[in-house]
Amino acid sequence: MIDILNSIKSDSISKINELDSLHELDQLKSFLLGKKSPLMDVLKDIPKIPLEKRPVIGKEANQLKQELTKRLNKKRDELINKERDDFLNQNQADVTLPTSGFPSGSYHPITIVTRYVCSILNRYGYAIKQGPNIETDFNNFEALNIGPNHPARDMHDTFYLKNKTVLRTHTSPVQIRTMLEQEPPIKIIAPGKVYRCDADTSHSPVFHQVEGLCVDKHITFSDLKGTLEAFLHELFGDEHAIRFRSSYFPFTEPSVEVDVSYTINGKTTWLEIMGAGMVQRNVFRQVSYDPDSYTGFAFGLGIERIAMILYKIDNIRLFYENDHRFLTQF
Amino acid sequence: MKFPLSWLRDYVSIDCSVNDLVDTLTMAGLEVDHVDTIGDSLEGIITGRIDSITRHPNADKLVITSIFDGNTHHQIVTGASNIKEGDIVPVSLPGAVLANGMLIKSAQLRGITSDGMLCSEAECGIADESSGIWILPPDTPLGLDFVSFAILKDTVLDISILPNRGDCQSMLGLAREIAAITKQSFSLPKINLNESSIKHSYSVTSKSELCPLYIGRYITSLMNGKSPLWMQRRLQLCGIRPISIIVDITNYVLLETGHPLHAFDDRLCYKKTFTIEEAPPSTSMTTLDGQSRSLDNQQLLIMESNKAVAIAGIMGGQDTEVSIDTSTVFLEAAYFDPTSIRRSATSLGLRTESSIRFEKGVCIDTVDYASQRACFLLVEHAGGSLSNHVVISKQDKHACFTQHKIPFSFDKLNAFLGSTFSQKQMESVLIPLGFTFSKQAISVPSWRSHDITEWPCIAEEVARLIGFDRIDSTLPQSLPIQDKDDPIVDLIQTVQDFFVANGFNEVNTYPMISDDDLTVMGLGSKESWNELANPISPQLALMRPSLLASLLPLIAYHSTRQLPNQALFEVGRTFHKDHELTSLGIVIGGKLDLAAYTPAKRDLETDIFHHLSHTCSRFFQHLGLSVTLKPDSQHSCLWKHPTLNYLLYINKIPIGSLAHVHPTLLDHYCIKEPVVYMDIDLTTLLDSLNPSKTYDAFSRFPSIRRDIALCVPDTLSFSDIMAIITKYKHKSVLKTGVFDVFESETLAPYTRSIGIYLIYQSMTETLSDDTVNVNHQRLCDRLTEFLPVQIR
Repeated sequence: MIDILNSIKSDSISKINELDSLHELDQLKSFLLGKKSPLMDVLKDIPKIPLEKRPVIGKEANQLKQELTKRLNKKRDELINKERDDFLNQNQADVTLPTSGFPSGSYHPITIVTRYVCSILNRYGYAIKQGPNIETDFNNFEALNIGPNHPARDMHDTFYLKNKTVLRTHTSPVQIRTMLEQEPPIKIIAPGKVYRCDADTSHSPVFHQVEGLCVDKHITFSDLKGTLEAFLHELFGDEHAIRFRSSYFPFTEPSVEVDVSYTINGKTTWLEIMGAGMVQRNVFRQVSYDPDSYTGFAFGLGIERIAMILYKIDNIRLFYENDHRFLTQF
Repeated sequence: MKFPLSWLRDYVSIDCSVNDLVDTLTMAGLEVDHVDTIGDSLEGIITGRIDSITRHPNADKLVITSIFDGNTHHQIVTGASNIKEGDIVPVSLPGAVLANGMLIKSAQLRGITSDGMLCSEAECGIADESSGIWILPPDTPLGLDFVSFAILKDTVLDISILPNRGDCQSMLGLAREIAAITKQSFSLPKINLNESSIKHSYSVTSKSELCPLYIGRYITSLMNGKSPLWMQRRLQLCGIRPISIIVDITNYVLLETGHPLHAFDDRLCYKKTFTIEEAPPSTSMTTLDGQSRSLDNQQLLIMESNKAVAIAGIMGGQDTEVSIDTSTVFLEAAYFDPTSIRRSATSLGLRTESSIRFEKGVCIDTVDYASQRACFLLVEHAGGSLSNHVVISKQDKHACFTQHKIPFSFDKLNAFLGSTFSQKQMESVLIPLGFTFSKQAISVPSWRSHDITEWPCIAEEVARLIGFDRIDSTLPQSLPIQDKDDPIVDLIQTVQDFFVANGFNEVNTYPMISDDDLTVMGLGSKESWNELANPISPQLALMRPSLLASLLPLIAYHSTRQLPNQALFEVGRTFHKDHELTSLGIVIGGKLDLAAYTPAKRDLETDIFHHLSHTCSRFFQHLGLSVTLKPDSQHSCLWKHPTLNYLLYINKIPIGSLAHVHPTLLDHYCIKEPVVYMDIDLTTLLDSLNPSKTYDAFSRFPSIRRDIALCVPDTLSFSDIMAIITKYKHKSVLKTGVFDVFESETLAPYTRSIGIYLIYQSMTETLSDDTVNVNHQRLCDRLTEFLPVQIR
């Protein structure tokens, strides 16, 4: 009997291995394990063999049944996978064709740089404030210590509206608006459009600035220096040297221009990046802050200038031409 | 302002290189815009007298000259025709180099040896072109080094003088500053006034506080003519044209001392009684530039009895102008209030060398010095005789004459700057600048009185001269939690992020538009908006009330550059009569840029209106809002297509519009492709945003779908059908939508079939088919009852 089982086993295994379709597998399964299969014949004949041999033969026959079932199942999985693979491999779609659909849009470089500048300063605790583009003479000039006949008005080529208001010449009026509304401490930045009527090839009548203001007790010039150094190093990289150069703005005293060393075509030069200074005491008086209790610093920078340096843009007009071939590079 | 180094060196010694000087000045706030090196290559030009001129044997246009340099004669052939025997001219002998770099050698000119060249002004580097040889004054010495004599070689610094540094608008002022910065000594030019007792009848009275000091001096026997070459050259280097010695000396002293002077011709001053007063009503005068000017109380005038003879501090009158045969002058030196001069100059639209100095503030202590200096030069170089009878009008009690004292302590400066400078360090920079110290106070030098008014100004002086780099870098201490951002900032970012992610390119335009833009868009007349008083062009004459006027030209721009398919947006200000809004404008021109290559996708490309309204709905969905699009039945705006347009509402508040741009407007901009435009008022939208969102429970029971196919006449819109469905649907309807729209010959004419699905789902139970059927049938009945539709 053992020999019969062995012969069934080797015969069955070779048949299973030769299978190559699910249909054949179903047939073979009933041939090998069905009621009329040789293995079933063996099991049926068990009562005929001597009692002492029955457990051995029975155990062997059942093990064989289990093994054949397992092998058939394994073969079934193989055949199913093969069939799916064959089906998948028949799909010959050309995946190298270009994709179609809406391409991604683009941010204007002014937006990118404004966000960049604001995100750095935001982290230093400066809140973003906005103000109107059409301003009063008071907010744009007078409160900033630029009286009606101040020579510094020459530094601002101002657009006037017919009702005697002005297009703000800088974002500094947002300082005034904020100080008129709130008490110190104040830490704000104000990004936005500003206007000057001196258009030529290197100037645009409309451009963008970010203004910063920090007012509290005991704010020092060294705080201004530390803040702007940290900011500029983050903006341009630590390898750039920074210098503070004496300048003049009516609304700050001392006033400085801040230059960053930059290497262009192998030549290192100082690029004028921003203006800054300690808030003038007359500005505090205009917003009813006590100049003996508070000090502060203010700074401002031109977004176009930063964008032109970072992206090596050589003509300011590219920003407002809005040519598709320019816009889609950002 | 231009500063020739050779002139500055008269008053201060400059040891460092030009580059170092430029750096030092720039760091101290005197920004050097430009360094002009003049006559750099010039070498070896001397003066010589033409002793003889003879014809050239072989050339009609050439002559042979014999030039005497004081020692020897040189034979020089020249083609010049403006020379005569006895003229003194610049001569370049072999070895000399001209301004253009040309090296002079002996040469044969048509067989005659020429040992050099006679020079023109251009060849000496002082003019761009010149027509003949430079004929020098007859008293010019012979054989001298002409390059240094005529200041042909120099370095000129062009410095932007900031508005607070009026004191540096002169050679002496800048030299004094350089001396203080570089710790050199500074010397004023010496004046030896030779006065004589010449009688005259001038009198001066200032009737205005705006002129606290007026000094008049009387000089006779002047020989007006050309000024000395060195003086002409210095004026030229500073950009002033030499005229005659009297005028040149007043200009020279202006540049030297920074103090404007004015000379009146004595013969033309009949009454000789001067008053300084604000212009009486209906005064007019003709100024030196030949302009007749009507004056009002904005201007301070110099009046001679009842006649205006000069606009104080700005320009003199033509009637009393110095001319070439003037021999006696009344020389004015005065102090005028800076603000008044600024106002006066602005109202006249007249900026002069004089007014730009007065308005930044001249030093009152220099008035008499400048007067004396000019008189000294007039006596010395123009042969004048100076009267010892000086006419002075002085308001002794005027605030101008008191020295400024500022309460001050060194500790306060350090606390303000965050520095640790010693008192000695600070004194060592302040004393050379002219500051003096007394108990708890510092006295400001008179020439800085306009600029230095409070103690931070002293801090600035200390910081800029010791160096900003010597101050530590710190960060502000102990500031509390950050203030809130302006809420619009976050909305703007969300808008930008959404539209960029959805394929739109962001643009940034000028907010100014033209009058014409308003008219063609039907946005009303310019008077109802914000008009600029001084636009730079008619194209940029008023502030836009809508972004459409900024965006449409961009479609036109790209259309003419073979890039007609554009999807653009801008977040920008729009300007209304008394307020500004932050607006979003979106424009699609041509087709969508889908890179479509199958018919199905190509159909999508052209459906820009649908695409924009879809994007619009998704945008509001993104913000957590539901937008209602209603056809604009008024179609009140010229720019909109009469039917393909919507008004957008959030909670019944109008928030924007969406429309095809009217073809007539497109024609105006020469745009051939269709354009759709949407605008959204973000300022109003901001108020609709609801940050306090709460969770809605959802059903976990299975849903059942039912479809309705309707035959609909073309006159009925989908929104009409939806209105009925919304009104009568059972509360278990969770969702509705369209799954099919088609037109076919099998349908009645002018009708279409619309397939609508409804999803039924209960919050509390599994719905049975029967229950849904009852509810659905009820809705179908309502549709046929209220609408001219048939259920298919």
